[in-house]
Amino acid sequence: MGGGGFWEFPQVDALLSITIFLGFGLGFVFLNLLVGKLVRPSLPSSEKLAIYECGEPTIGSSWVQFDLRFYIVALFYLVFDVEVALIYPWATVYREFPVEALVLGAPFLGIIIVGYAYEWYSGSLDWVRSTVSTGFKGTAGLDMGALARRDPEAVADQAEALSRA
Amino acid sequence: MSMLAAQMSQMPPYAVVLFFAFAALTCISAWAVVISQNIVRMAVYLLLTLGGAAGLYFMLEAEFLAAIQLIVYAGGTLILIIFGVMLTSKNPFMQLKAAGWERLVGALVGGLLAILLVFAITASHLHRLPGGTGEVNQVEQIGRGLLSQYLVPFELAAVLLLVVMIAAAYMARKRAR
Repeated sequence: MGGGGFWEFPQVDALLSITIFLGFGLGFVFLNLLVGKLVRPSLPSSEKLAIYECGEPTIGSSWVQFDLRFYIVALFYLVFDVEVALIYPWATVYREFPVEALVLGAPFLGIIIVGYAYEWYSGSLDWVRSTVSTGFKGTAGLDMGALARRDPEAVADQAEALSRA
Repeated sequence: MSMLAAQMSQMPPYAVVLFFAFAALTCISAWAVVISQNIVRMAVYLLLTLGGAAGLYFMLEAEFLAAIQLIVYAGGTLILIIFGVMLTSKNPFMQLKAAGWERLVGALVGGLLAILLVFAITASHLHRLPGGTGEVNQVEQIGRGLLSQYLVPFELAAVLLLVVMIAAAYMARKRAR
């Protein structure tokens, strides 16, 4: 699919393909919804109009204040997103200048690893804080294997031992 | 405008159509962000704005920037905004309506910025710059730049990310206690 003329537009050609693809995808969804709306019989009942939540009766409003942990996870995601954006160009020239890339990239990666280690150590990556910490601080004297096996008795014993200590 | 027309005449017609489609998507959804009163809808319109801008970057042969725009802004920052909304909004029928003076100030600042941009674009020599050939490996060029000319910003970015991570840990700890 050449651009023709005296200019070639590989990017624009690619973008055109992507746009047509997206347009078909979106159009297909809305066309089917439209056809469904035109064709189906309309016999509403209170059961049918209820919010579908995997067959469970809904409890309360979905407009509640969510936990701050979701926001923190999103923040972590963004941090490593930006890191990938910066490390990818670095990685493409690694083969060309291996020594320079290693020497100059090490501080960059080092600073980020320090931050990651701090997160891990401070236990902010733990999802459930009340029972057991996956941070290095909380693992002292804990048998992580028992946790991984979900052996409730072993875990309870450890929790008791920890609370006594 | 004649400059624009001259540029357009060099492009295949579907490229012109694509440009106006993405420009319209960007502008209309940006306008919708401003006039919408539901914060969740605003976030969705912002997603369309950022996607349209990515399309425009792509047409300018800045594929890496377009990809980063989609990954970091449309993917990351928008999720952060939506999670921020989930943290704050408690009322489903909360409507954000600007007061009269707020609209006035907003229109004034926006108008001045638009005038500044139009002057800057018409005064620049962007149209005389050679067009990209599409054969240069941009990512490698950026990588070389990061290791030479832009080394300090590259390393400072790591420090900035460290600051974000420490702040996130602080927030998480404050909640736990």
